[in-house]
Amino acid sequence: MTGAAGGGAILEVHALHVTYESAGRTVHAVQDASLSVAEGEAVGIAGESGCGKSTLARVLLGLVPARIAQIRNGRIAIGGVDVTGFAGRDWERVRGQPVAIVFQDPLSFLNPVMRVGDQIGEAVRRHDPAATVPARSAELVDLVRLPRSALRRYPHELSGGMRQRVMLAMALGCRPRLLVADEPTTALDATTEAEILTLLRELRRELGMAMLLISHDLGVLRWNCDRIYIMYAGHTVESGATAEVLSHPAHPYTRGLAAAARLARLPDGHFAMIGGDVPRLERPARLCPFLSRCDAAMARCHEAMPPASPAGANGHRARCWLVAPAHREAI
Amino acid sequence: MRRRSAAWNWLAGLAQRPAGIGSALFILLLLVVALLGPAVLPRHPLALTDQPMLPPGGASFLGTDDLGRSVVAELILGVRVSLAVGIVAALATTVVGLLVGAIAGYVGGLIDTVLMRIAEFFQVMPTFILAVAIVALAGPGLTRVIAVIALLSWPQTARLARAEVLRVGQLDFIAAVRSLGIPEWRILFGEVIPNAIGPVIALGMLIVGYAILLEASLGYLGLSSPAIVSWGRMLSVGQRYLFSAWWLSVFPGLAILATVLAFNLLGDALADLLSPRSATR
Repeated sequence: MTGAAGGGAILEVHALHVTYESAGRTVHAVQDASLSVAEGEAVGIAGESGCGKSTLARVLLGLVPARIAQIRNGRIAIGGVDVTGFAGRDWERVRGQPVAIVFQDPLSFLNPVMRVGDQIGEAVRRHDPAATVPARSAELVDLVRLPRSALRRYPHELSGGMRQRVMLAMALGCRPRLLVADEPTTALDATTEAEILTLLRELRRELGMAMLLISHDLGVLRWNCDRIYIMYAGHTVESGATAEVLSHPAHPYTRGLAAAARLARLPDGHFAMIGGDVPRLERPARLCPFLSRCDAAMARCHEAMPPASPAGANGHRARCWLVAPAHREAI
Repeated sequence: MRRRSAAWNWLAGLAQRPAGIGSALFILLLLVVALLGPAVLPRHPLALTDQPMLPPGGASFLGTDDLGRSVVAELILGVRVSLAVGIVAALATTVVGLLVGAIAGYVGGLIDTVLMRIAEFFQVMPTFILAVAIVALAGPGLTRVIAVIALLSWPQTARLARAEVLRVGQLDFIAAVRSLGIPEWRILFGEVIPNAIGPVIALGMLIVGYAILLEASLGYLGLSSPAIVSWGRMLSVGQRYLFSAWWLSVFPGLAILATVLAFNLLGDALADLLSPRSATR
């Protein structure tokens, strides 16, 4: 399921399979994920908790512990460089520049005993050797709309929204071409969330950087992303232009997700939801991972994994037999 | 409440612990005495001017010893030895232990296993007996005593530092720093160790007390240079006159007790204050 954008991809992930191994148990967190982000493009990944979206974000920068995590299959390319085999110090070539990341909970992701200014300065010193650190740090806090006095504060003295701006300033200090934002507003209240999302949009426009926004909130993705990927149980099951995918979902999972997100009522008055449970991830899926919960399942689904197939306009693709050419021909 | 800085925080926290602030002030007093004491004494502390074996009270204040030297002057001179041994030994122990433990915990794998086996090798040795043996064989000397203490106590610090580094190393913000592309050695020294050092400093205070006690014990057994006045050596001399001149053993004994106790109480207060579970962090 490669994206619509052809040339100038800052990030390309193809058929990625990542497992965690601990205490003799194997978890196939990401099983078959493919995506691409073009320079300057905003791309979203949607999915419920445990679908592998955070693992995917961390694997991109080698942030999963090498002792327990393993890339079993697939390929990751950042700015045309294959990073799949990277180990140890290799990662320093992509971390921060060209790819920076901001995380969900900005308190636990900031050093508690270091002033904010020193933490931002660290990023500047590493990636912007020509810049004078204090001047560039001040520029960065201006950029994320923080008062200059924040530079002298410790993380615990700031509010949640301010901390997220600090994280953002650190990331921007690296001058990234791609910003990965892993649930950047989930820990914040609704007003602050809106402020941070607006800021992200403005910064992207000002700096022309690409963004990979990971969220469980379809509303957030709808307003902030050009294209969207839907993830389920470690698979990218549907992708395409955000508006197209969310208004004409092809995969039954996306349909259920969209219905649940707009609090659709069923004929009996209950809210729409997806029945059943997420499949266990101890073994890689051989069939469609959504099969056990799918209300549109057919005989074909019990025979083989559906391929990613065109499902609509603007590069809309879904991994489902409903849209697979073989199925259409059979009809 | 807006807080100034981490250092200010610690001071404020220490102020709320009477034992901690009391022992800190006492140690400060000892440091002042060690630095200024001999300079402000009316005459050379080892001058044999008074009558020997004068009891406490009167001009001699705490009495005089078998050679007619003032006990209070000797005590003041002994502060230097005790503090120097204690602080230098604890500093050496903490630096070595912190480095070994931090590298073992952060790098892990084979390096961790090798370093920790080496640490265990030193940990199972009986410290006091080995110290006595080394000093008895190689002759007395403060550097030797300091070296023995550091050599035998670093494993404890290393184990604590390793555990703290393991805890801090898997915190979220380390991943965030790593995601900026900061080299690993700078993450270890710039981010991990500053967050792991609290309990190690507290343990360092306990080691100061332990080192002072060990030096005094060696002195008491006569394993210190007669040319240097130390509290342990004063005890060793004093025990010969325990029934005729009690002041020769009681005052150095009290000095050792008070000093070791002060470092232990300060260590406990700091451990309490700097522990990751402490609410002030």
